[in-house]
Amino acid sequence: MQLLFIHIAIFCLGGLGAIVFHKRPGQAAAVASVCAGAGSLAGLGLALSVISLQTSSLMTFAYPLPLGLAQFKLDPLAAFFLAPISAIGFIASILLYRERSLFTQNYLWKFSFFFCLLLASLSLVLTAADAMLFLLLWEIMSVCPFFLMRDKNKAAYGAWLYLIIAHLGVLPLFFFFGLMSVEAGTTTFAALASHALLTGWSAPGLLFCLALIGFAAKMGLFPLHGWMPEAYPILPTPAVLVIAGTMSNMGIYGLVRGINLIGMPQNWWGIILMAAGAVSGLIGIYFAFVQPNIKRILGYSSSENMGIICLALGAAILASNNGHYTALALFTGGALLHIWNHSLYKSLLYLGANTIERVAGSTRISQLGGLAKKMPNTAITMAVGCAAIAAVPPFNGFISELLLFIGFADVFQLEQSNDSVLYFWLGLAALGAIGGFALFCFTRLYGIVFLGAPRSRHVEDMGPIDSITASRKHFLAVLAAGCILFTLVSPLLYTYFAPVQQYLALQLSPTGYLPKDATGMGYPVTILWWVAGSMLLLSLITLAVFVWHRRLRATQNARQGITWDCAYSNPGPRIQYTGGSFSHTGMIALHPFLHSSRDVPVITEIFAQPTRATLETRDWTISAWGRGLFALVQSLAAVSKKFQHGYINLYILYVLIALIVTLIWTLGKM
Amino acid sequence: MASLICSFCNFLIGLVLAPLLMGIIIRVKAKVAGRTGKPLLQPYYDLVKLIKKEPVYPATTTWVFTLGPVITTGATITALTLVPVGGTTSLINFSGDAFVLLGLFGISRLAIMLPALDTGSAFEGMGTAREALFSALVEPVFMLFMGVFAYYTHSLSLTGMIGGVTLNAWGSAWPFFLLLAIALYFIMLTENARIPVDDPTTHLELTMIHEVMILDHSGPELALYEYSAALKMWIFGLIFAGLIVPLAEPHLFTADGDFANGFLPVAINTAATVLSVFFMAFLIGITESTMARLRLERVPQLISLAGVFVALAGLTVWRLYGI
Repeated sequence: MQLLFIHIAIFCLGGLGAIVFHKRPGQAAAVASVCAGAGSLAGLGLALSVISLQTSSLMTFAYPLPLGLAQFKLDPLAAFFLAPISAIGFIASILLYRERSLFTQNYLWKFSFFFCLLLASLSLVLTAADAMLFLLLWEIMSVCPFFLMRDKNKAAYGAWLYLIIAHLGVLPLFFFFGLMSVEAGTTTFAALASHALLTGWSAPGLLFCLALIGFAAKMGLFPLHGWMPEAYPILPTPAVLVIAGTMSNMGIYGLVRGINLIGMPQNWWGIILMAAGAVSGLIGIYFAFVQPNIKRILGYSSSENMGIICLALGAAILASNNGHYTALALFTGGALLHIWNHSLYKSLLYLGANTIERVAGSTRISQLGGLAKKMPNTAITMAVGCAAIAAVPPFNGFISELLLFIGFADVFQLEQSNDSVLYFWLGLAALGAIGGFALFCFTRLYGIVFLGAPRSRHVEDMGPIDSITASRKHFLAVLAAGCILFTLVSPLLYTYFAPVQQYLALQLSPTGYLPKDATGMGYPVTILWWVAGSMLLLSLITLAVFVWHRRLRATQNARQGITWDCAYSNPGPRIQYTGGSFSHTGMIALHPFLHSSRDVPVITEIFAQPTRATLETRDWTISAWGRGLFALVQSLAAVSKKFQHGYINLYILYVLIALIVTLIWTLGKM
Repeated sequence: MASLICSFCNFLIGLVLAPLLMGIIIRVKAKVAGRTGKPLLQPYYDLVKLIKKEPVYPATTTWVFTLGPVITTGATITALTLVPVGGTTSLINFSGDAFVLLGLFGISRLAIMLPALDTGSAFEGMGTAREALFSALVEPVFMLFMGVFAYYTHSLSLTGMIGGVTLNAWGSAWPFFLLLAIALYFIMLTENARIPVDDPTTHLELTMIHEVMILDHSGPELALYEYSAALKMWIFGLIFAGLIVPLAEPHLFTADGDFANGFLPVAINTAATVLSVFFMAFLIGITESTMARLRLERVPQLISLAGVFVALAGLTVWRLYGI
């Protein structure tokens, strides 16, 4: 436990160093990044030791504020979420150190400070064991990314949208924790949890809905996902690794803790959570495959992955309520592994996307192409990342989704089952749909960005890559290696995280009992060993075919030709499919979800002038929020403008009216 | 040990006989059209010819272009090890291998789509976009198919699922199996790019999905793609045969442990299954001869029809196992 506060203190030291050295930004960033790296390593060691030893420790401090108690608790669940934050944070710190010259110099010390503050607040949120403390730290954590986005464009739309949606989410959380604290009389999590078990809450359903909406904003569930594709593209590389890779996990953590605080979950909670997850997954991936920009695709895909995790957690609640403990093990295990996998491949993909932006100048996929020849290291590692996020064997995304598929199907193996089977069928179909479109989306991304011929003069004339960007290949390789090796070690990882899984199951439901070694846990491990074996067989068979093919090619004289062009007179890169072409049929098929708008001009002249056709898919959820909520608030605020007219004589009249009303009221009371 | 030998022999039979399915389809289509048609073994001659040819690689392509066929073939062969033949166990079977099968189809599909985009051609891009969309739409239907099938047979491995299709099961729940078989037929037409989803005999833009993705491949790469397409159809044929032909598990040993009948029961089951797979090829040939390709907007409707059949099949049995 002391190590936790040493780890936080190192981050604070880094932040302090950034402020102290603000006149010399290079040194400020160096100090901050070294401290952040050291702190992250300490955090990783701490997390792994807590998971291995399965300890749970509590610590209380003196607290200057009137409400709440400064109580911190580090248990295996918090440690599990701390592990990817520390790992990705370490990589991000090294990147900050190496690339500090790429920032605007007078912004760099501010960035370093908030980077350290973000890492510290992430750890603190995970260990906060008191409702008011949690809210305070949650606010600090939510505000940090806003300041990390303000390098090039101070008035960035994405930064403001992020801040607004983050606070739209915090408001239900205030009510959630507030209602519980008022009813129980205390604010510590331990006291709230015991109140839930002993007395129960008066309106647990309302509490669950408040928690879901509040944490959904951080997770990026539909319809609060709009900030992800706007905010992630404007974050610098070290920040985007931590925020896109790990900050959305905080929503999951909060939701699990919230459910634990509410107590016994009911079936309909699980169903609502499953529905929210399925809808987010589907809408997220539908929006993802129509985006023209790599980083926006990845932003929507984050929303999709969080939807998958919610689907798993909702199904876990349903399973534990119906006594299907094997399915519970599969769902919790799949959810935990998916959290890890998402951190790995999302960070990898964002690092690759930022590298492409640096080298090619743009992340608009319809201007890229042929980057596999110009950036071979990024191409190979991004191929692994795209295959992993599309849940394709033998990469890590497939393993976690497979556990979820088998979890849904596990109920079917029983001799007797009830109506919950219907929900598991629907969940299976929803997860299948999400996976199918994820493959569509990332085939489009990888194929149009890296393959084919360059689609713009800028990419065609691209110069050599500078050394700073070239050195990113090591980080890309480390993350990609994680994605590949994960499959082979997945049974071991599953066994290692089994105590966390047990803890998670207990948090989700007091009756969510997962035995540590009986059939409940042995079954998923057996499946994972078999899957690892079949992936090994896949590699061997593919290797055999590869060797045969190589030998055959060695005996032949392969020639180079041009791409078949159907006798076009002037074939070139411009006739290739663009991002819009690829997604066009899907966009039309899924029109009810996407509401794309087409603006195709009708050409009537014989010798037509160049003109322009547009295919646009706006995020209609943001427009709906705008029309529904913000326009209403704006019209109300406009009414109040009538009273702010600037005539000082009328302002004096307001004071006089207020005085008279106060006099009458006071006289009336006497 | 004996059952392992049987499973391995079934696997080898699949590897060898898969191109024959293509030959049967071509022959059936020719006969219906009033022609004699190509020899049944023509696909084998074509594969040998292609392997001997020198490939031509487009200038825009990278390592993805030559690695794609290798990965597709490797993934499809691995998928074949998971599928059982005629009531025996598959070479590799474990609980959950039905979903691993879908994953392996996923990577084999990815390894066809990316080399197609690698060529930088508008045609291959078109084919890739269509293939990606239709396979994304068919994925939930196929997943639900596995789920419904698993519910009835109480097993998550293909061996258990197909082993659960016995005469008793057919007798008591034949609408279930009929609906599933029809749905699987539609899924197979979509996944293997046959009419009414795609026309495998032309390279015209109107009808291109699978054929156009392999347009720029030649020589051994084309041979690998053609072979893996045939193998994928064989795999679907095995599942289809498992649904429509209820075979009991062949017992190699009698009750006393006597290896009396030898491999004869297994051989009979395998022969029955192989004939059923040929029957499915015959059905595909008839379908291709009597129907035209659907307009592209109609293909999602076909896929939804398959989904409705799977859902209906699920509804016919979901109250079967009590509350």
